[in-house]
Amino acid sequence: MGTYRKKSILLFVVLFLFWVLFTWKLELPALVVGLALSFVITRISHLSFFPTVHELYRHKEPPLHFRFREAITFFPLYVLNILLATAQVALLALKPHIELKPGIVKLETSIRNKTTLVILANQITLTPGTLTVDIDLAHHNLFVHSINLRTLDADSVRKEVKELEERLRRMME
Amino acid sequence: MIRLALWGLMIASLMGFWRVIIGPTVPDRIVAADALTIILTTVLALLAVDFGNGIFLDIALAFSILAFADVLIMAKYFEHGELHR
Amino acid sequence: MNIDITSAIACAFMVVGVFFAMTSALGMIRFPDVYTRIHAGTKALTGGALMTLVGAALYYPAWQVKAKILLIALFFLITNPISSHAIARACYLHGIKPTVSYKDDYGENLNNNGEETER
Repeated sequence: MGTYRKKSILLFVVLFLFWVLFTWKLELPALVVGLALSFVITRISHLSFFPTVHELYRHKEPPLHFRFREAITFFPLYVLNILLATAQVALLALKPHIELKPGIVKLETSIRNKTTLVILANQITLTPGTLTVDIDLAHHNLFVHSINLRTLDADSVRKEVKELEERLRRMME
Repeated sequence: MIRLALWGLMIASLMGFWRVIIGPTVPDRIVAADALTIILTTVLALLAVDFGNGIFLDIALAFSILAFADVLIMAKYFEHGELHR
Repeated sequence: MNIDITSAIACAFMVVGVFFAMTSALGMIRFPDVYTRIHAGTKALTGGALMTLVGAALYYPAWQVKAKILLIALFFLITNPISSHAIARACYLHGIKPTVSYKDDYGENLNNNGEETER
């Protein structure tokens, strides 16, 4: 019960911060209206944070430790990966003859936490040449669509994802 | 300078719209519509900078949230043939 | 002088971002099947929109407007992979196969497990 209480308080604070950012009136009536609205919305929607049927048979996940020192190197690399992916797709689209060899590769990860797995899937989508098609939460498998398996065959996709996974695990677990 | 960027985005959105028209299957059209919403949000942000009017940014944020929900709903409907599973 | 350099950097960001957006739209027209179009429509467009928004945030002086534009950019960064993943999965489970396929582990997995994998 305690985590749900914490989550609803967090939701309340985030909603109120958004209200302040959007109205940008630091007078008493506006702030009171914002507080009232955030309270009402939190009361209405906090039920959606209770566990659903999907999460009942999921096993216990290990706790997360967010390390700030790893995050400093993590996020610039993330942005750099996005820019590289963008440049790669742009070059591919501008080529006169497009010869692609796409395919879907199955990857086994060793990450057991759901949040970390979702972050890894998002990061795979934004790295050059790969796109996550599905996550198998029960067996911790990822299915990755690769745009060009001729230059980037299955083993190199696996190696690349392994690298990302190690970095993410050093930061989060 | 911003006008030039807006012209470029207009050409990009026209190309995306062409994919919406000719797309052979439904997901093609969904992908192209998703791309169009992203381009339109960027256009709204650039218009806010150009006119010096912050109200466009609120519209842009609300529009991007609605577009995200739309794409998820369309994908789910396309996958199962119904919304409630 | 300082302002001038900042706006020049902002304009460079915007031009490169708009160029990426245009190439991504071009790729969406030219690529052969749905999955590769998702590649074009997600990655290149995320990078392009991100760079354009960062340029716009650098261009505009007011602090609050900068915060809002960066909020939109962050929102794109989080939601765009999710929507592309939803489309790709819906498309595969609906039965649209990749036209030129070299390797397809996902289909094998779906055939082996049958109903089980489909949560």
